[in-house]
Amino acid sequence: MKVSSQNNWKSLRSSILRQALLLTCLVFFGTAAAQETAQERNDRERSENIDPRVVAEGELWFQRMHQALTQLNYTASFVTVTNHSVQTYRWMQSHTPAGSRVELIETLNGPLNQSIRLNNQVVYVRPMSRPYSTRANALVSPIPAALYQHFSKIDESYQAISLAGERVVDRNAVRLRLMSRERNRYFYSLWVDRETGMLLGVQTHTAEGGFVEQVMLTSFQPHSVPLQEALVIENEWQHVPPTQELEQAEPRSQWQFSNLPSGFELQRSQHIQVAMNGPPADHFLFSDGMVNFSVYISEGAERSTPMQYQGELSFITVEQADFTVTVVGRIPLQLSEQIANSVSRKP
Amino acid sequence: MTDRQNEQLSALLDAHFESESQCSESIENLVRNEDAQSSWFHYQLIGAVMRNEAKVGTRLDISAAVAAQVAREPAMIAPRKNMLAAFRAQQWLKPAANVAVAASVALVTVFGVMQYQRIDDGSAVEGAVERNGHQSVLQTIPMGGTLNPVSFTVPPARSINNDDSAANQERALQRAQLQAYMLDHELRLQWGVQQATEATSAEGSTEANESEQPKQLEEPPQ
Repeated sequence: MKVSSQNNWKSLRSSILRQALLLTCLVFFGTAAAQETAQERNDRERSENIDPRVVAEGELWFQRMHQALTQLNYTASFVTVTNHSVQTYRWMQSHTPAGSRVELIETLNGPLNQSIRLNNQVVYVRPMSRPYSTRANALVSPIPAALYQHFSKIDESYQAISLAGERVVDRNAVRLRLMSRERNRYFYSLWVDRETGMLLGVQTHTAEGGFVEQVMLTSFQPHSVPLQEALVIENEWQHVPPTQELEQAEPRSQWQFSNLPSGFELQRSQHIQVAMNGPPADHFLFSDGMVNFSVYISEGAERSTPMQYQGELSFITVEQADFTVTVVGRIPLQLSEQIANSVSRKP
Repeated sequence: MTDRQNEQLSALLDAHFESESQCSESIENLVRNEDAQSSWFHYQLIGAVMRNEAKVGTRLDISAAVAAQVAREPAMIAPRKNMLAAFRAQQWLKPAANVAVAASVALVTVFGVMQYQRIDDGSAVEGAVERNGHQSVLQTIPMGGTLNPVSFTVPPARSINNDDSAANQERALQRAQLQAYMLDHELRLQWGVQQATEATSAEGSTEANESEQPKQLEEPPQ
C-alpha cells in the first residue's frame, strides 16, 4: 500500500512537472508571439495604415517649417543635449535689404565655433584653424540640413506625421514625428511653431524610442524687418577667405556595396587623405536625404585598427582581406556594421 | 503692529515656526513693514544688551544706510552682446589665400569637440582638449559612449592598467583614429551634399552610383 502510494505520488509529481514545463513553454512562445505582433503592429501603423489626413497634415507642417527656415528673419538660441554633453548656441537668420540670405550659428560656451552662411557660401570659424569657406547651401550644425529642404527630398525614406500640440519655448507648437520607412535608422520628433512655422526643437531617437540627441530652442524672436546684424555680415563678406574646392581625385580602386540600406544614395566619391594625418583612403558619401554617412576604404601599409564606437555618431572600422573599411555617420552602429561588412572589391 | 505680527516677529527671532509658510509669512512681513523692521531692530538691540554684546556709541542700525546706498546704485543691465564683434570680423580678415584646405584641416580641432569627449574613460581626450587651452563643456553623465576594440588581443578598456604603456598607446591611437575619421566626416559634409553631387555624379566607381541622380542646388535668393 505504502509502495503504491509512493509510486502514485511519483507519477503525479512527474505529470505536474511535465505540465509546468509545457506551461512554461507555452508562456514563452506566447510572449514571443505577442512581441512579434506588437512589432508587426508598429510596422503596420508606420506604413500604409496611418490615417492619411495625419500624414497630409504632417507634410504640410513640414513645408511650413521649410518656408520659415528659408524665409523668416529671427534670432534664437538653443541647447543641444546628448548622452554625454550639453552645449548652447545662438542662431540668427535674416534677409538683407539687397535680397541675400544670412545665417549664423555659434557656440556660446567654450571656444568659439562660428558658422556663417551668405546664400551659397559658408564660412567656418574654428578655434584651431584659420577661417575657411565652402560652397554649400546649408550649414553643418546640430540643426539637420534636411529640415531646410523641401519635403520631397526626404519623402522616399521618411514619413511626417502630425501629433498633438505642445507648449515649447512658451509658444504653441505642433509636434511632428519624422519616421523612417526602415526600422534600421533614427527617428525624429520635430516641434513646429503654430504661428510662424518655425522649428522649435528636434529630438533624435532610435526606432525603439531610445534617446540619442535633443536640440531645443530656449528663445525665439521673429523680426518683421531684416536684421542689422545680417547687413553687417553682408558688408563684411568681401573679406571672407576664398572658397576652398574639394579634391577631385578619383577613387584608386573599384568597390561595390552589396548590402546598402534602402533609400541611401551615393553623393560623392573621391580619393582623399583622412584629416589629422589619417591614412589615404577612398571616400564615399551616402545620404538618404536626412542623414549622411561616410565610408572610408584604406589599403596598403597605413591601415586603421578595427574598433567601434556609438555616440550620436556611430563609428566602426572593420578589417577585410587586404583593406579596412571605416563607416562614420549619424546612424545606429548596427547599420554602420552592416554597411562596413557589405564592401567588397569589384571583380 | 498687530499682536499677531508681534508674535510672528518673536517667532522669527527665536527661529521657532510651526510651518514653512508661517516662516515665509513672517519674513515677508518684516521686509514690507517698517514698524516690524523697527521692532526687529529694537528686539535685537535688547538681546545684544542682555548678552552684553552691545557697545555704547556703536551704530547698530545700518539698514537705512544700506537701503540708501542701494537706491543710489545704477540699475544693473546685462551687457548686450555686440551683434558681430569687430574682433570676430577680423578673424576672417586674415589673409588665407594660399592656405590649402588640407593644411587647415590638419590644424582644425575636432568640430564640436564636445561631442567626441568622454570616449572610453574620457581622460585622454579631455586632457588633450584642455591642453589646447579649451574648456570642456558641462557633462551631464560622467560616462558616455564606449569604445570597444573589436580585436580580442586588446584587453577590455576598463581593465587596462595605467602602467601598461603599450596598452595606453594603443588606446591613444584608437582615439586619434576615431577623432580623425569623425572630423573628416564632418568636414566632408561642410562642402554640402547636394552641391557635391553635381561635380561627381558622373563617376561610376560603385554600383550604388548607377542609380544616382544629380540633385540641383536649392537656394533661390529671396
